[in-house]
Amino acid sequence: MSRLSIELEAVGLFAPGWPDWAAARDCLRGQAPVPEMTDVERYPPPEGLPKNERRRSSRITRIAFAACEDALAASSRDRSALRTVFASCSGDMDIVDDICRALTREPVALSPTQFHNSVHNASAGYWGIANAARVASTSLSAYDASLAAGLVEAALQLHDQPDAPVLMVCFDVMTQPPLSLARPVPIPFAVAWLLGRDPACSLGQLTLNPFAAPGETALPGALESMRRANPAARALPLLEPVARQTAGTVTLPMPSGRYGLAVDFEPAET
Amino acid sequence: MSESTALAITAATATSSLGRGLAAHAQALQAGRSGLRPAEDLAGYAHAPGWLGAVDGLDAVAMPSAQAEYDCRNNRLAWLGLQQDDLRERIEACRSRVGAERIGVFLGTSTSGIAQTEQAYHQAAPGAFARLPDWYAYRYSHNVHSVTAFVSAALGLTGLSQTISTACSSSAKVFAAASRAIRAGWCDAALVGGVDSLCETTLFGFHALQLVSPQACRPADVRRDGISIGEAAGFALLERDSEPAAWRLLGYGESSDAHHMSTPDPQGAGARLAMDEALARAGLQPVDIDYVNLHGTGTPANDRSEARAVRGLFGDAVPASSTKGWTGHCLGAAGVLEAVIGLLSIQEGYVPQSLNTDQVDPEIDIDIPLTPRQQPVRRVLSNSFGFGGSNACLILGGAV
Repeated sequence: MSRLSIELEAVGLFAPGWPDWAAARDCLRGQAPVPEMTDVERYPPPEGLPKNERRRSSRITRIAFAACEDALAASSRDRSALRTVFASCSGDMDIVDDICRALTREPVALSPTQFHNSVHNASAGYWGIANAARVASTSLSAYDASLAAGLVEAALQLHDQPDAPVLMVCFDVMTQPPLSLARPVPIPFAVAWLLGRDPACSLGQLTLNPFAAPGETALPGALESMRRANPAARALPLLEPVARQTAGTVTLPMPSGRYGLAVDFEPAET
Repeated sequence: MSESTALAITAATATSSLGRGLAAHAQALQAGRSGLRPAEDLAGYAHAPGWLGAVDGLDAVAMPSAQAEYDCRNNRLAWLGLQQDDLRERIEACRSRVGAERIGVFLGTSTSGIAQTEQAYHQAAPGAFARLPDWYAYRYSHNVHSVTAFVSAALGLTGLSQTISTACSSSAKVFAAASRAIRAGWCDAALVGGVDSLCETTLFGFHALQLVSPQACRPADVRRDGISIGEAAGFALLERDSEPAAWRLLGYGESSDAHHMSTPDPQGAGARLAMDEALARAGLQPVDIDYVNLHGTGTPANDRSEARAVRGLFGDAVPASSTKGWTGHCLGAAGVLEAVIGLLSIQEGYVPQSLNTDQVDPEIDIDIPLTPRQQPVRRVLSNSFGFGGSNACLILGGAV
């Protein structure tokens, strides 16, 4: 079997100038200008967490939650039963910076909260706590191919258990100096996908072929700059046909680079 | 859930403070010889708290010249691990049989090569962090995926790959992800494993959480007072169940605690869900398990919560031990390291004792062996739990 088809039930988004998918959709349909490449104005505190955790939540957890909440805003799916795939290239680079600075001071004293928040699956852990979800959750990375790796993992989970929908989110924060000199990520970006196998709930079907010709679909103008500005923004070429509700095929970079992930989008019949 | 999840384990290896390869691990286990040493006795780590399970000789490891840019402690440990037990030859044989694009690479790590970033910051501190040194390359070291990218490139494997980073369950969950990929037909085989290496972030981070024991960790002991941190690389080659193999992956389970970021659910409910799923996928009952390799970190909270979950499923009918008294807690590599110890237990007909445990906590009301037991072991259940409430359970068996 070389292809798997899954249903896209909903999209959620959080990025500069795009507080939700509706705003991004207007832009991707050509009905609104492309936002400026800058930081977001506000990082909304995550819903569903105890007050202290909510207040202390890091920017990466906030953007992941914002995209997931947006994807689920109109969904009746039971959140506690939703499996999750959290795909992020770098995880919490803000905490990495804080911890590595603290390690240079004598005597060394790290913040215990920062340390447990430094794990790559911190945002996924908080999502599980906020939604009382005891089902499986995975957190993964594949550098600039993290989006493709996340989609592949979600599709394989749905192949294994077709009746259990998967919430997949791909997200990375913008990096700050000095790490941004070594790993520039100029904007924050988070995109969430509610994925299942039931065509009755679908915006359209995604058919994945992970052994396609290598390469990656680019975009014109300012959208291309945005696509390159964050590993999660590699989703933009795929979001465009979803926004326009037109059929399309895009190629996303796969981890090994030897192949591409070809994704066909076929809009649901309305 | 699909009916049969069994896969052949056609090769396996581990490198830890116990030594390099399966034989070194089997010998240390049989001899009751721990790999843990006081940090103050270890060059480069004398400033760290507690005892460590360090791998010797990493400074002398030569990286493959075509992947020299990946040089860092974590990738050196990965490369050292790949040289043991004819693993590269086994992978090469598999590759010539199924093709380079048909072997997936699924590796787990918690901190990857973060030690390079730590070092870069130490050098940048006098300049107020205005710039990082020229030698520093995030992509090839600290990057979560660098170990998987390195291993894939060094072995010439071009198919599916991903790096799972769910803290201390990472390299158990890779078995689950690889199983799904093989079952869906996107791989014919998969190299699974995990690599985690000593770094200041974890050494001082666990210390900040007051989870590091001042002595060698004592899992399940009534006076246990925390973990000892270790490092390891472990790998296994998974193939379809029709391949001849000494061992099999019979089942896996994954769950979340949904309780707290760094404290386990006191009732062990999430742990129980993972074990239940693993048994269901394997089509087995608790009575079919001969040995439980506990997550058993040696913290008061983990061992109590896990024992509650194990007690609920097995009573005191199945011997259960943590092997972290030998290796320390190898974090993102713990899942695969302890899976390999489970395979050795099957191969050698041997249940390892809970090393360093003197008096079992009366609250831990399960069968904790304090001396080694020679007995047939057909099937092993191995637990791995991580921060963020991430739980994974593997069930391993011998040849059919």
